[in-house]
Amino acid sequence: MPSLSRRFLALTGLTLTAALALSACAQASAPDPEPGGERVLRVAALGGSSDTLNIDQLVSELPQVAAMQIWDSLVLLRGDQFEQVLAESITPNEDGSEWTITLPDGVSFHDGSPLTAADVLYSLGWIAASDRFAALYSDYDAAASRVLDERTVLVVLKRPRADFVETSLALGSYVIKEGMTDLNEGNGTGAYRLESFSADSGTVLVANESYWRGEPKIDRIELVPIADPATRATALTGGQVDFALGLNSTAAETIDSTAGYEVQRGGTANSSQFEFSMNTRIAPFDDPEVREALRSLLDRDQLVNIVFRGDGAIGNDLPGLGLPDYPTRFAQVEPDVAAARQVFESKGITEIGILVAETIPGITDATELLQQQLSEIGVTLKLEEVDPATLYSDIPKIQQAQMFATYVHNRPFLSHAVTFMIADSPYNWSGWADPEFNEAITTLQTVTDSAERQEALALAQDRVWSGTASLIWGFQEQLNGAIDALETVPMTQSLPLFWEVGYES
Amino acid sequence: MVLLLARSIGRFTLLMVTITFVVFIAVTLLPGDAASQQLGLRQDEERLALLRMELRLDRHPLTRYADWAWGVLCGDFGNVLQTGLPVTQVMAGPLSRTLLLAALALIAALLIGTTVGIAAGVNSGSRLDRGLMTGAMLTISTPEFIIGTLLVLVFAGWLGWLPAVSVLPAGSSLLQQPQLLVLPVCALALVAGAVLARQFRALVANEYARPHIEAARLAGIPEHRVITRHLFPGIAAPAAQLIAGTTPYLLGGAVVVERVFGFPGLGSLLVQAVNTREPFLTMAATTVILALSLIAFLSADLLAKKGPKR
Repeated sequence: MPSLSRRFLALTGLTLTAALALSACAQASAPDPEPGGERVLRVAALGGSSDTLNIDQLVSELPQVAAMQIWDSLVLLRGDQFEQVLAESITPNEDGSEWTITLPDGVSFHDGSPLTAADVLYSLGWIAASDRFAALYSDYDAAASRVLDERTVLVVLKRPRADFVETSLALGSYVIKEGMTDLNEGNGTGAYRLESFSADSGTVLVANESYWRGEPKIDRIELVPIADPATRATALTGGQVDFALGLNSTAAETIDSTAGYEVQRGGTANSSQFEFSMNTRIAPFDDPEVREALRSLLDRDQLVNIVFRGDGAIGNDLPGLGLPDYPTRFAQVEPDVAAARQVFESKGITEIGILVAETIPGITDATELLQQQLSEIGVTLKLEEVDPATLYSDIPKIQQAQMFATYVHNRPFLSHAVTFMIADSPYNWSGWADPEFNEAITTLQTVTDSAERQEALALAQDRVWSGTASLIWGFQEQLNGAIDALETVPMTQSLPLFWEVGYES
Repeated sequence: MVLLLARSIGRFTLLMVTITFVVFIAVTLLPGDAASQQLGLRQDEERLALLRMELRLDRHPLTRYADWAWGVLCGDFGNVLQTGLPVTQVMAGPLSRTLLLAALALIAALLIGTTVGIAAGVNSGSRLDRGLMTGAMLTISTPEFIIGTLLVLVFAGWLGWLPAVSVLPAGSSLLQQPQLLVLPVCALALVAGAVLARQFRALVANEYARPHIEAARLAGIPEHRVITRHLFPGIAAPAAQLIAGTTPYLLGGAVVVERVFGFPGLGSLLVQAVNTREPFLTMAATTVILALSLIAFLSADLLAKKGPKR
């Protein structure tokens, strides 16, 4: 079944790529928006037929794009900056167990009601209890947190969390109206109001003229659900949409070479982090020397050039490239095949197993390249392919595999470390357990003193660097297609922010 | 006749129950389920068990099938597990678009099939006949997605007359955007039309050689009259049977063609439903395609039995 559907998808992909290339020849330039008329932006995004606007549940991208324009957040992660949006100030107490958030004046919801501290408190409770964001707010104490006055909320945590802004608020802090349970009604404080939402026929947003940060430049946004990335690209070059969110590398190449269109790259801040995790619990990777040897074998240039077709950055085994706290003091790892061969030969390692699930296009290709690179030094890599749909229903299986090829969204060092690297995390695939590292992370979570934090951060990064448990070999940028006339769309965690975007005149 | 109809309904029911049961079991046998899809990285045994209970996925497949079938009989196709929306609501839009696509393709296929079939049939053995039939054979043996791509190449790529993909602008319907239908309808109609043309040709050629047609022509009746007055009545019943038999192909082919054009129909919905392991959505989409196909097949059968013995 999986191989059949993959072949089918490949055929479809081929067909659409051909169509894309051809329609690109026909349409020499994109239609410019009418001068003086209503400025409309048509956006293609991945949408599912049963989507709703309830972004606290599992939904595809389109509703998340809509929500990002309708509801402002307290804090957003933009590039390598944390941007305070609805939070005018965020101040911790001494140990970081209580956080005081004040709100800006004069903010109102689309229905005209003013934004109050009660709304923010309700929103935090809603998000902390939601399916999608609960993990970020595990230390949020809903019973103890309270409203201090109209514009001030006191957030109480179950234990000190000096990283509350980075690992909780910045990754999900939508503010909704107090009492709201069904987000399909719209009504946020954001730059766009919901006119209509339909999983079937698309979503229409209209500018909120009285937006508190200034009127948006585009009057109307139409979001069209398109499941296939190649179809999104063809819709763009066919003049059916003006912005296509999420392209594959092949389509991006075509769009790049077509007059009238451009590829807007999300930068490493909005990228997917690809890695080969080595299981430190079992042989041969319980031996740090073997991990080091594989590290020096890996040809990262080749991986990035072939798997990402060059649209990405080479990784240096540290998470969070291009995001806050990424260290630049470590020299880029360079391949040293001879050294690797010597270690594998002297230890008599001739075969390694790896678990592969195509949770994102490119994982299998990357693993096959690794297989090739290993075969050059006489080591056989045995691929065990798993259906991505069931991968995470058997976590012990991942923990028992010698290697695991995977990806995660690129997140700042600390948020990645807390989820994937500390010893007791179930998602610590490599099983790497380093007491010094864990201690440093605890310090980062509990200490507010800046100097002490810097020291702990440096130590944690040193340990990751020398521990070599996971080969973070590349970051694949998010690629979006746009008509030339559209200004660059800022992104936050791979979602576009259309508020400041307009058409070039 | 009543007996015949009753027997057909009996067969329809039996086939529906058997096939939907097999599909239902196949869906449960797929690795993973809606619960594992929904939880993603956050799943552990406890969470999975809880969610399975909540979504009622923990009960025996037979019980679940019985519940589902009873629901369908009462007009309730269940809800999408991930978002709780009624399946009928999710399916309404895609289904109506696929039906529109298939209906238009049927009309176009009929036009192609009858014209080519009659032209070849009455000139049976001629160069025209051989040319047309070779063309039809070529079309039939080309997969739909290649035909689709060729159409896109010519009409969207080179000529730029039509959109390459059928993307519905937000908030509009297909009827407001008829240009989106042209290429998908053509891709479907070409193949179905070619199949019909070959079958019609055989019917026409056979009928055309019969004595009463020969007599009509000898009596000096003009050719077009011979065809409309004397040839058509003779082939009407078997032709209707052929046309009814084409419907299941059009529905199945639509699923493939939709993929090529990014057409927002039942095919795209089915692919999504299987990928997210949505049991009720998958079942509803299959059941509708199946029911329509079976109805078409059985009406073809009825027509055959009712028609004149040849």
